[in-house]
Amino acid sequence: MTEPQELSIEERRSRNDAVRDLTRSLKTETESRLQETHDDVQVRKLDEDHAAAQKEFSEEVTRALGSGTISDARAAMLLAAAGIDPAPIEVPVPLLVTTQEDAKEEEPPGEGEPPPEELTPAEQAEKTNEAQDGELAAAAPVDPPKQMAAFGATATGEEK
Amino acid sequence: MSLFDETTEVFPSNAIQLICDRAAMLYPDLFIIQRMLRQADPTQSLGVYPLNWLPDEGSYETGNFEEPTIQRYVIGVQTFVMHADPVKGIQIHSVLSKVMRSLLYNDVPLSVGLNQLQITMFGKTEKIQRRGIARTKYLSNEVRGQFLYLSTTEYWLETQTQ
Repeated sequence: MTEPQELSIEERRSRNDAVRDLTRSLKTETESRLQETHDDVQVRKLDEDHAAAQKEFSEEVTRALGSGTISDARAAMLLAAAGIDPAPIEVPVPLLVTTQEDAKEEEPPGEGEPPPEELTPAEQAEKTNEAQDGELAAAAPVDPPKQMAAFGATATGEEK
Repeated sequence: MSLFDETTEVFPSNAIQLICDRAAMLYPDLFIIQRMLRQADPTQSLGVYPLNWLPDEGSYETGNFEEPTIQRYVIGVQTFVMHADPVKGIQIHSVLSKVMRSLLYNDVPLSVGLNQLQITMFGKTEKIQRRGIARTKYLSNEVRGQFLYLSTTEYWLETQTQ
């Protein structure tokens, strides 16, 4: 065994400073962690309170809606204002409107071709419905930007 | 219950009601009413009322539809400020007018509510598909030492009937 070496005053002072710095650093870190834990608890409590309040408000709006006191639109607006996700908004489906350009594309039959069959109004309506059903089936799935363009809406949103 | 009842929902009164409700939620200090504003109304007033209905001439369809598929309602949104100091009056009125336009353009709850509006009458369902602001007109006047500032914003709603 070797005897402990006698330290000089400077060395002792230096060691003491190092120990003091380390203690101070540990204390700061501990306090910081405690604060973080406290903040987490506070945030969690606020979140829970907020969720409970939202649930209560949502139930109140649903009750008012059920009793006919408020309209669907007002209920949706109230829920949205409270940060509650309202019912999904239905996207209107575009109507099949025949434009003048479409009409031009339908050329009359040539001389050699047989004339079109004479249909009764009921048969004509049935045929049109079948054709529209076919167009709808061919159009699915709907591409949202194209659907918006069909309304003449801007790409950035529905407001101009 | 009569069809001609204040509880029957149709455009544009249902949209006007929503706009007024939302403005009242956000700005309880404002005097809000569903009519054109008058000179006797208090300062910082908001008036919302129907202005126009316009059919889209290109949306008449053959078949059973006899009314245009696309219709446009124009709603007047008036803001009014009265102040003894003209500079302050213009400033306050500019802010009020701008805030109302921002509400109509950007407020998410109002958008959700307007998108939810749907009326079914005589077998046809009408829904809003687009909306926007056509213009804002500003008017000013002086009456008995009070400076009056009024703006009228034309807010349009385009509906589709199916």
